[in-house]
Amino acid sequence: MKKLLILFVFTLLALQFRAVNIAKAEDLLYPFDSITIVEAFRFDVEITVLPSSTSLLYNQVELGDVLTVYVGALEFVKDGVPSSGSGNVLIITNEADVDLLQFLVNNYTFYPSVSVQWGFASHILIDPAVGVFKDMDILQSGSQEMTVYHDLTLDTWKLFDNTGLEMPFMVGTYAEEPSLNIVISAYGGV
Amino acid sequence: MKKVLLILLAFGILLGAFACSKDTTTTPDVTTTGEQEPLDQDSLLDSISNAIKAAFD
Repeated sequence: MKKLLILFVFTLLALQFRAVNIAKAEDLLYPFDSITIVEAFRFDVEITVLPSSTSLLYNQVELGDVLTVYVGALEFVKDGVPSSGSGNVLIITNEADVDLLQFLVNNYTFYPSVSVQWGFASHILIDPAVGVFKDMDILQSGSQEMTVYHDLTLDTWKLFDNTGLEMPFMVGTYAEEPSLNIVISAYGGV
Repeated sequence: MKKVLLILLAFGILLGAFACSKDTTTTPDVTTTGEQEPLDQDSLLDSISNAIKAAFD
């Protein structure tokens, strides 16, 4: 009898832990109905090394091309008030003003007086009907991430592609708009 | 020994009930009306991209 009870208790506990793991794997949802762009910065990088075949920039750039990197700070708003925190968006544009990449922020690292780094990933998706969410299916099958790095001591900027290819900024191209209030509606007229 | 097992069992059931009732997601109130529909991801990101670029013009 005791053995049966012990077996039952452990089976129950095991099932519960499995239930918790499944809950963690669900997509994370953040509701909002509009987005406010509150600040942005940009800088240019020159392609001096061709990206490898696994790079997201492969076949999209040539040696000597100049890409413009835009990073915008976003606030997700619902009914006029911030609803689910903030985020950042990365836009990489070529000289023909064609966006090669648009990713939302996945991670942020700040070392005071040393560096700031943003990771922008393909598995952070945006669906106005539900919000910004992490697609765990993409994450598990191989997410791609681009990185923007700011060296605070040298005041320099770098873009890293998903393979780690380093693209330093072109001196004199950095610009920022620290006080924006641009509202983008998540809904459009039919 | 039986009491200990019964207490463990009760604790397990309570823990299970808590884990099952905890909802890790939020269900948004969609504000779409009959005259509006949500933009898809690409359209929304394009709007953000255009707005940021325009801010630097």
